[in-house]
Amino acid sequence: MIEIISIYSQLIIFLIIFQFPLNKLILKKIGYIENNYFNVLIYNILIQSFFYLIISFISLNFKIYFYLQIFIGLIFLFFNFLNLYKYEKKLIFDNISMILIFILLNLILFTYVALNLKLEWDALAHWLQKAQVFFQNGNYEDIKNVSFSYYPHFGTFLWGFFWKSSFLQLEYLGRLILPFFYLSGIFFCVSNLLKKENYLIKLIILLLILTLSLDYYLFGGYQDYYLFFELLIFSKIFYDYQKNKHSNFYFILLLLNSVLILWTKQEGFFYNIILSVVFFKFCNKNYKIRFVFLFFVVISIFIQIYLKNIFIGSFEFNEKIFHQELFDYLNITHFFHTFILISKHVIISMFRYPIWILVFLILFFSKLINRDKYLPNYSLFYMAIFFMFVYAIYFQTRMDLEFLLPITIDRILLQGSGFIIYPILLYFEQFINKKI
Amino acid sequence: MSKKLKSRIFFLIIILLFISTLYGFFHNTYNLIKQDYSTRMISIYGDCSKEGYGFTKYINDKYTSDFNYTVINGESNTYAVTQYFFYKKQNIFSDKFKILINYDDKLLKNFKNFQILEKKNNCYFIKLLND
Repeated sequence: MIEIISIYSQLIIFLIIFQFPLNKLILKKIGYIENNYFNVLIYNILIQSFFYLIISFISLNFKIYFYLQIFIGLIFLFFNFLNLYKYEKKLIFDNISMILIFILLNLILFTYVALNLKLEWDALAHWLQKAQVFFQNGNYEDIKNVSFSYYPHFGTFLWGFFWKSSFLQLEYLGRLILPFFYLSGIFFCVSNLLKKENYLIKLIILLLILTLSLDYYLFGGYQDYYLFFELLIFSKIFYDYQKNKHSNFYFILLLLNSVLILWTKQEGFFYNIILSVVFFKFCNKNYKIRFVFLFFVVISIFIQIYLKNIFIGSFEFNEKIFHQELFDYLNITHFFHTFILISKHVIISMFRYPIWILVFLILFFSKLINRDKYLPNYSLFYMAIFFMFVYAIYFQTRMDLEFLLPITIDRILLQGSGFIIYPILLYFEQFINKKI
Repeated sequence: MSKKLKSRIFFLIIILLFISTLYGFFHNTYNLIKQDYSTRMISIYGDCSKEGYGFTKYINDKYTSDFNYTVINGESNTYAVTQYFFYKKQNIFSDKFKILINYDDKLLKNFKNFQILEKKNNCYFIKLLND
């Protein structure tokens, strides 16, 4: 029973911590009117995560930082409740019903993780060791002594940090931040759709997206849901950025998100390139802003290279990007054989993560049957560039593809699906609004 | 409380119950209450089988030292190792001590220069001789 209380208290901790630094009043003061709880939650998650990344590099007592967060979070919670009760009684039920479903789904996933403690292969082989470093109040410098030290560490920092700050200090309590982020991201996208009256349709869409993208296996210490989450919210914030004239705030959030992506997994480096291209081409703003975004992304990449060289002695990927064997693809038979092999595993992986089946069905329906333009302009471009990236990974590697593809490609597809979910949700919204 | 609000609350309760059942919340909570943490860990990683969590924990609890103990699994293609559950960042991994999981007599011959400190079924804690 004590364990159950500890699990539930972990959710309360997350909800308190991510109450600040923003709330509705502060957002209103800087010119953004927000009535949606999940928007504020996600903005806070992004900002706080950026600070987590910073403190992972410095020698700081994480316990003190944690108690400080709880203290400030409680103050914000108190004032947020006061504000809600005083001025926005009408909004209470609409927000509360979604929040209750959010809390319940969190408890469902938390309970599942607690019951099925198994860490999967990569987690046992190296991610756990990194999390242990942060659990023992280590910083990024200590990473140099662990296996695969060149892998980014953001997810394992969160794992170690919340493991340390949990009541029972059990390993899996630190991992609960992952389902919390995953659900926050999905609620952030779904709760903004449709009008309040379409509450039931909203709920059905929510359950559909959850069912198609949820894989408990990935809560076993893998970092892929972090990338999924970051791409998901990038997509939504980018859409808001496109639509709003005064959007410096969204611009900053997009930049923070890009930095987090970079420090989550090695693939983050390439996602940064993909997202920068999407931003540059579709952001609807003048060229100065586009170049400023590119400039900051390039700077953050150089900072990563610099920090890795300083702290762990090298910046590297699993393999060298350019090598002699790439010329083997000049042999057209070899090229097509590899192409077909990758395609086969792409199709198989879509059955593992059927969110992609939904994406292609919507695409088929939209382009060939309904002949509409409900999908945002950047979604098809992203898909094309993402699949080029997937194929490029496997064309580039020197490893045995028959071994590598079945154990990795499904997770890459799941990561990438994060970005395309919001355009699909927008499609649902447009379609339903036109029919009603 | 208006009639509309009452019906919305009733509807919400039904939805919450439906979602709970759909995702096995009650069943999982029941199982979680019935099994404590260490029981669950051993049932998942094995005591002296699978990843050998139980034996590795026993050794790490009994033989506290300035080293991290390397765990080697005899069935390394099937099972990963659980050594990082006990990893201490200030300690180094030592070649002097090893924890062997799923090691039969045939495999054990590879460690002729080692003395057996602990043995349980096919699990061993060994130390390099003449040290």
